[in-house]
Amino acid sequence: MKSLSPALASLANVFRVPMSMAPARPSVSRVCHEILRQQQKPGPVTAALQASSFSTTSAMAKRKSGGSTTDKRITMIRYFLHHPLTPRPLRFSRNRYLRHWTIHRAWQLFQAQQRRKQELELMRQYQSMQEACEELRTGAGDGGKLFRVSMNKKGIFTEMFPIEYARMQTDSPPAEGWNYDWKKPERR
Amino acid sequence: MAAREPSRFLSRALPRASVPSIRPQGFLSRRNVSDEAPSRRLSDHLSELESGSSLSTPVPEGAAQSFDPVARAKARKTQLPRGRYQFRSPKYDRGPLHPHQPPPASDPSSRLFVPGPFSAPRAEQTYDSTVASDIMSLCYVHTPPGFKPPPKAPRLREWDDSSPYHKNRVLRGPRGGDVLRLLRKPIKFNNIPEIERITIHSYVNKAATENSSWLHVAGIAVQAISNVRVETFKSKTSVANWGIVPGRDSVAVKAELYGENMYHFLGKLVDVVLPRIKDWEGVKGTSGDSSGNITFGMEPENVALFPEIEVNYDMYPPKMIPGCHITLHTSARTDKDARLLLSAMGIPFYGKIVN
Amino acid sequence: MAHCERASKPLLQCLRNTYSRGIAGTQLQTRAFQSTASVKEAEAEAPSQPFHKAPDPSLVTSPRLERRLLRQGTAPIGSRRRRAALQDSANIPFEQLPYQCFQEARKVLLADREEKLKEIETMRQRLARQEALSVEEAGGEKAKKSRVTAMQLHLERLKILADINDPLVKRNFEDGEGDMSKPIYRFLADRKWREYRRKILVQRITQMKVIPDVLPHCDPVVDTRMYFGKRQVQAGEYVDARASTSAPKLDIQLFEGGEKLVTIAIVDPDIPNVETNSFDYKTHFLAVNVPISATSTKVDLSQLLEDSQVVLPWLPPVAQKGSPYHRLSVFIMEQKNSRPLNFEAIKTKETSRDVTLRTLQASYHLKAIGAHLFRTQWDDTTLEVMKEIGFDGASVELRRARVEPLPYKRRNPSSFR
Repeated sequence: MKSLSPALASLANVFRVPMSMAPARPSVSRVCHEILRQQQKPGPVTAALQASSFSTTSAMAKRKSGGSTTDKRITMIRYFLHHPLTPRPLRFSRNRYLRHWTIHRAWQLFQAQQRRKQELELMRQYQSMQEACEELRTGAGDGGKLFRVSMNKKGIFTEMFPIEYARMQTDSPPAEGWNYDWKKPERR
Repeated sequence: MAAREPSRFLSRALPRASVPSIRPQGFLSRRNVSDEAPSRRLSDHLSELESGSSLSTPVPEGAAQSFDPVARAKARKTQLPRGRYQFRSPKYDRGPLHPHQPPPASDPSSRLFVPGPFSAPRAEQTYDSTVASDIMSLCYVHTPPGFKPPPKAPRLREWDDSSPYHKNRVLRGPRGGDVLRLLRKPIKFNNIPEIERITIHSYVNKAATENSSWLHVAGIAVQAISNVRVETFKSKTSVANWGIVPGRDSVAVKAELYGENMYHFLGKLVDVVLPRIKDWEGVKGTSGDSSGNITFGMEPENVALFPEIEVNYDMYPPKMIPGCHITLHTSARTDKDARLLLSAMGIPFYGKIVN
Repeated sequence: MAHCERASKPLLQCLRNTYSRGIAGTQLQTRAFQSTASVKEAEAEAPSQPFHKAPDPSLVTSPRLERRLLRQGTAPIGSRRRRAALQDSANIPFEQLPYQCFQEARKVLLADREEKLKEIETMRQRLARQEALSVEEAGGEKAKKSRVTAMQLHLERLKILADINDPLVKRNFEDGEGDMSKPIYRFLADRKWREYRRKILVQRITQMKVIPDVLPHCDPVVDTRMYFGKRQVQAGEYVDARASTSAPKLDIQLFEGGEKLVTIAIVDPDIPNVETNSFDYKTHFLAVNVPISATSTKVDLSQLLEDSQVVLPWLPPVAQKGSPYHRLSVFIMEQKNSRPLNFEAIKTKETSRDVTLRTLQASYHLKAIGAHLFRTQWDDTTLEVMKEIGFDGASVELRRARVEPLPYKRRNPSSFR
């Protein structure tokens, strides 16, 4: 019992888990399963294990008038939803605070640089797109027909991207990265 | 007030002899920024920087090997004496003029401090690397150099001055309704639509008709799938057949997701949950509030498909798992841009597309 | 306020204690701001004596030795915990601590700083080129001037950005060691002042209506502190008549580079005038051509030069018995283009103390850049001070004139009888 943390001790107190049954270092999930097991009818194995006590029913449940009828799961959900053990604000020594501050500033700077790089890349793409379209419009020698076709926006906002496009990037993409046999599926 | 002014102590503590009390009569040659000598050398500028910058000193070789603060702390026979008072962020906001001010949220001693981010979400990386530039090129409209779009009519109409009472009256709204829609600007490299935030909202009517456990289960389920603390809301409207009175019953929970949480949630939604919904065609094409925010609903059995709930399904009372509405707020000004973005991110749409 | 400022407070208090014990300033300055790194050197200097004979103020932990040090007039440095930790520390300088993430962060910051230094160089060259252009080439006097000003501003900004991410700069500033001749420390001090002290000042001068009463507008850009004797007076505080018999000292912190010439005026807008049943203005002090800069901030109003700066010498403020409190408002006003005003002409012209500050401001093109405020009211010492300075209304107690209620508000009008 000496190593039971205060959170777990109070949890055990709330759900009336006998402290002797709790293992030396119970994790939260084990305590929870303990409670669930109590709620269900004990199988023959568990009953045999609990030979020390004559009854497996808790005292509150045995009482006729008293005893809550709420689901134990709901009790637990309420406990975890409202329990006040939120982390306190951190308190660093001065050097440690300054190290933290340095790292924080560097991270902010790095993120700003990344954003800037991203934006410049997009700007570069946009400008080269602009130049290409201008070339297509004036210099292609077909009276701008190709340009008009390329500017056609039909179906972009109604059919949108095919669902096959939307694949999140993975660390290990498949061996054949692009399906060249893909056909646009018929719309219903 | 006194606690805030260390430099006051400093100025008082410094010996008076070191401070010239009588002004020197001859004025300095340089008086103001505007009067500066026209061109100064580089060394003049660099001398104004901090000379002993700590950034340039390198770390000596092997410093990391010999450095072992844990061993040093363990080797200590007695504990260190207690530290002095350290600053504690105030619990309550008492206004900008109170001497006890909270530090900025990035400060670890702040109560709002959240460490992290600890991961780079896949959805965000996908958006940055491919989706953004693809949307930009799909929506590109070429304007020849020197092209000026013809001026548009003002959105608010003038009164026609047929009555003397029209003078100084506020302008009329647009024809066919009083709502001024958001203006859509052509999509360029700096206004590509992106997802700004996601709202998960769940209205639990049984929280009013039965007991609060419905609300609690809904709250913890939403918290589990979103990684964000939920807010509860009271009903604003009265619903007679459920017996809901406005302002009395807490009936809804909401979680707002930003940044890292948002992209992780979107990734889970697109990769794990939506493909497993049976006979689900997609989000309705008519959904949206016509300013770029798309909402769709999820049934309770679909909410149970979220991995956080699925692995721990036994811990939730099955009939109490809530359904919810998920709103995807995008920076697009119109629904069609928002739908284009969401379809690129993997959310299917079906039916008649209404913009 | 960052908690490290709080952390530096004990240090400063040690400093103050030492000063009040009358220790020479030089010893104080060398010892007070010892960083962790330099402790080893100090130790190496005097290894001959045992520790209990000559305890090191940065390492001493036992209360007995601490007390002995204090009796000798040296305050121990930092907290006892810090001293105990330093005793067996390796004394690695802060920036060399081999924490991996910290060192990686320093690399990022260093790369950024080097980039900023390059930008400063290119910007300086561009600025020099722009200044070398003649007015015709640059396209007009106005265009050239605006371009040069913008470039100078950008250059100043770059100097701040080059240093702002340095943890040593932050530490120096929090310890109060910042060198105000450098732009980064001026920037940090300005930001800190605007976070709290300026808000309080603006609240006081607007709530007590100094702003519309004395001057129509003031946007403080210099930090002003005021001392009567050794005591600092917060903005709007009541000051005894005895304490204010001698002129106050000002501590005017300028946050820009360069030097400015300012006019300092102390005006009381609350002199009761019985004849007109209203209030008059009175100038209690007026000095012109006072130079201030970011590094030299102290202005002792009693030490200003009589023959070239003080126009109206200090007149101790006294409030007659029964009069409402007097708002003694201090205004620091920048002279136009920082040019010296003609002292002789002003001295012969401004002999009356009744001229309002608005008139002065308009006739000499002054711009208010700083303000402060204290109040005075009748107290125990006022009568003596009045006799000392020969105030003629000393024996008079002012009373509010009884306002006759309007006829329909009288409780017992004659028409009822």
